[in-house]
Amino acid sequence: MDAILTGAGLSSGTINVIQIPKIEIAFTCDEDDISSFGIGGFEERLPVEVVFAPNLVKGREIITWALSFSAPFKVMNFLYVTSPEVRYVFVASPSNTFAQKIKDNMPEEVFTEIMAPNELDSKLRDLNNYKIKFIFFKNNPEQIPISAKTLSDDAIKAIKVDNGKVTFYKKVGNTFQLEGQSYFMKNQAESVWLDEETLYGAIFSEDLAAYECNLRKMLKRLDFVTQIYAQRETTLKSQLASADSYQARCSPFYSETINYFQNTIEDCITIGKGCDALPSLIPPIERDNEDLKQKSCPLLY
Amino acid sequence: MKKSQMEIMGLVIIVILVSLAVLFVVQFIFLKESGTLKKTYTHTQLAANTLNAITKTTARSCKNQDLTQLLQDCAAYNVQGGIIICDDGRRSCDYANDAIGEILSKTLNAWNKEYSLIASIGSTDIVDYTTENCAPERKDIEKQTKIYPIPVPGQSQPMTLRLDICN
Amino acid sequence: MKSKAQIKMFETLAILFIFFMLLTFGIIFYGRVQKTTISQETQEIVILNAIQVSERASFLPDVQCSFDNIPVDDCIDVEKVQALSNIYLDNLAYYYNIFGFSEILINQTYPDAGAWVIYSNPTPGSFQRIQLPVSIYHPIQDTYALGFIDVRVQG
Repeated sequence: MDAILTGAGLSSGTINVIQIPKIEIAFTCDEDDISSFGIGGFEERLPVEVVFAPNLVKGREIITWALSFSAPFKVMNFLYVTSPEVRYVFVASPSNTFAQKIKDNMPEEVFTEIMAPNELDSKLRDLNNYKIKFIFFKNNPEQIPISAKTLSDDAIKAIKVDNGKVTFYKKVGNTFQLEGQSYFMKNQAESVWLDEETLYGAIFSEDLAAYECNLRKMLKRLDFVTQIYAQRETTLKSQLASADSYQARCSPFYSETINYFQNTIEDCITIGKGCDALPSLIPPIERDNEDLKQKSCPLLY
Repeated sequence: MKKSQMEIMGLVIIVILVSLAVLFVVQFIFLKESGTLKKTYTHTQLAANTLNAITKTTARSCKNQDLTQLLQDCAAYNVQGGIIICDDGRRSCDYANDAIGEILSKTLNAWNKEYSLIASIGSTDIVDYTTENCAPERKDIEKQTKIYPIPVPGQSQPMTLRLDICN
Repeated sequence: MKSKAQIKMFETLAILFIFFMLLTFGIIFYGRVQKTTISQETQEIVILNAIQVSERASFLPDVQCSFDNIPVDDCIDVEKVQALSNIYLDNLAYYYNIFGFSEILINQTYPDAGAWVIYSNPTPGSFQRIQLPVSIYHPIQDTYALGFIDVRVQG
């Protein structure tokens, strides 16, 4: 299993369907942000890898999907793990092209479907899935659909996606209720998503705690990678300044945007401050890189 | 047959069976060749990595062209030895040959690998570095091969850069 | 009668002696076979771990070349390597999770020599070694040199 996760995580954009014996794989993330997977009482730690998965993956197959996460330079690969027996129901109006795009980009091996909010009671059938995840776009999850009411509370989860924020819900009786307290959003049940890769993380994660645990692991990785790029930028700027006149013209275009980004990441990790500002710090780095490309100077990334 | 003779025959058969079993175990367990996983991985990666790295290498004293460009020039103008003249006066064919030879001596040769690296266009070999035990014609040895086609301006067929690593 | 019984007793004793000798040889032999098999399987696991570390080092965004965020295979950016060698020692516990007890070096061989340490956290004892050619990108000069990545994993 360890070799499968390592191999799957190395090449991004790949989907693997792996036949397994009929076992249950449990995915957890503890308070120290170290996630692990367990099979039959044996646990393997994943201190660095970011793996978004339900808390229980069971069946005769597991699906792994790897996507590259960049901010704006490549940071790591995210690995999404699920089972064909988990059902993902996208709830959005037919005019919501974003919801359709997110659903269509998911691997076809994953069981997904899309319906309008007013169609949930009429169209959703009980297909004996052990877990159902509802993904609401803009609409608030309220009543549990009729066909899902008989399932246990643990089997039903939901998220609401809206403008860079994602809110987590759990089933309590016949209604959806807010679940969890965010580390990034001052103890609300609402968290952030930076781009499509993190949004898929919210879709595949069991709950807010598991999602943010993996986000914190990603931030730690982002911190190290950004430190490297920041040092590289500083070195390029100083060495080019003392190079020949043709190369020296490049030096003023290294405006230390990566350094500022790295400082904000560190504040986010250590004191939980400035995390929601991170997405806005990426475009200036992209613009600087584009300028350098046009001037045939060594790129930032 | 006397009873004792029968018993001796039985003992002999048992001894023969036990000996065969022991030979079988020795053959498949004690004498099993180990390390095939590493060898297969290393040789496959070696062939691919070496070619990738060679083609990207910059010829610093040849107008900062990369070796791919020098090989292309050599293939297109093979009769003259290439029309690019490097800073030290060598033409692209000589420069590329010398550079590749030096690279191979510091990597594959230093690691005692048997290999064959040939750059050819049609039936003309532009670069040929082959060790004694890895001639391309040999079919009796296991090889890991990487082939890299390189388009050549003005030519209908590409140049082929081929590296075999022999086990 | 007495001597016939004694002969029979000796016969039985001899058979028992031979039986236990054969049993002992069988157990020793089986033990040797198991030891060899376990040793080979342990070796395979160590080799697999060395290959995993080598793959991680080659594909790590911290050192891999990229142009406009498109990664380049079999290529190491020398400025990234120098930056990593400055930060990994302060974060050894984190990078240990990626590389374990190992040593990862970059040796440049053409056109001129050079050497950089990506990661060094070895322990005494035997190790598995994997050496693979890589391109070494120098961003200031915008040139590619050639060298090899040298991965030594303990085990």
